[in-house]
Amino acid sequence: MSFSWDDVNALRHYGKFIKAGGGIGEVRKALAWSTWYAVKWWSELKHELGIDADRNILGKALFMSLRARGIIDDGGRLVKRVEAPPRPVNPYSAEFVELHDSFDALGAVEVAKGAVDRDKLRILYSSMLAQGWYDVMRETFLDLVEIGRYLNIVEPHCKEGQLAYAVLRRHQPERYLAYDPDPDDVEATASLLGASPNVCAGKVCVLQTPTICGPAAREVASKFAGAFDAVLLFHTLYWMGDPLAELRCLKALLRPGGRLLVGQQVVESTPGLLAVVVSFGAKHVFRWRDVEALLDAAGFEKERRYTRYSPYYIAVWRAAQ
Amino acid sequence: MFLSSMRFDSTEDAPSPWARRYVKFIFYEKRFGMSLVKHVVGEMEGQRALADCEIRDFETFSSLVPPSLQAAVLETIRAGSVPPSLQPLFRRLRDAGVLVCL
Repeated sequence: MSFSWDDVNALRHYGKFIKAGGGIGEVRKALAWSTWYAVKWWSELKHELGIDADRNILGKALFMSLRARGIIDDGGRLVKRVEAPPRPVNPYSAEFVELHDSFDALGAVEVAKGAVDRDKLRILYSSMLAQGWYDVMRETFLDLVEIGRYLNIVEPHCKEGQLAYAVLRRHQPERYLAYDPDPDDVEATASLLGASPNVCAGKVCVLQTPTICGPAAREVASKFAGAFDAVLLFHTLYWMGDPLAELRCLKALLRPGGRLLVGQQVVESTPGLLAVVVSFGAKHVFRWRDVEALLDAAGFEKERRYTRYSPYYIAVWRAAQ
Repeated sequence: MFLSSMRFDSTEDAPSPWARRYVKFIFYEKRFGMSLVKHVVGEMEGQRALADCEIRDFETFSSLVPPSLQAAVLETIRAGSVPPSLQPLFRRLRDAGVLVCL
């Protein structure tokens, strides 16, 4: 069994997640399933859609992640054989594979063609966010970035509010602003947090807005908390229409030296999981270097990087003066 | 409004489900402070709404919700109380007509 530098960092910083998953052997089986499924879905897309296989976000994610692993060549042809691994038996690792099974049942080609009902994709997304392995991943991230140090927090694209709930369950921030473009998600978040959508009176504000760059949203945010101590980005960058512009606007909301707490799936991470998640409406896929270039261009300075891609990109960045 | 509607001093055999939930309520209040109390009240109100729920579209449910989570959802329906971690999923299942609550 060989270990890369990122594997060592994952063991060092993400030990809780790996322990819960049954140890490195079980987690590796789960990750191998993710790769195996990615190859299966890419093969199906190539067969059905030909040269258009990577012209949708699912195909693009599969192409980039399998290419990064040397499993396919530049033309998308398989150059490395991937065997079906043994099934993990640990409950958390097993349910990670089950998520892939459920997505597979929808049919990768149907998803890529946009033929799968939105409600079905939303159920699958909600299922993922409710699974135990995801909860452990979320909690481990919050531990790692020391969320308890930050009193005024803003979370873009909060989706259904599980991350906000996890933060509020363990920590009493003075102000927590969560926003999302989707009215259903805003309602779900507000309901989970015991708040009213678009009412920013208490400690929690859940706002429906596609971006924090607009003058109205910016004004609400500033009135709500003044300057924020931290921006929480947990698998968020790929939902943003224009991530660079959004990051610059978020930086403007931070106090000098405020932090950006980043966890982001990248193409070098689990390929099948990335493909599943981007199918829920992502607009971009990133390599870990793309993430760093983006944060740098937006005016942040890297304070500490925990992992590059295994199990995903994790770092703390500081708003440059 | 919610507290005044609770009847944990009723003539039913103790401890009633509402009494048990009230203990949970106090626990959360002490542990997490007032900001979460509102949430817990919401959660408890949700428990009542779940009294008559059933999976209407079992095919969609069993193909989309991973097996280990299916068990948690069914157990939740039987228990009549939704933990926060499952609330968004229940909302989606209801929106899609997979779960129907009276």
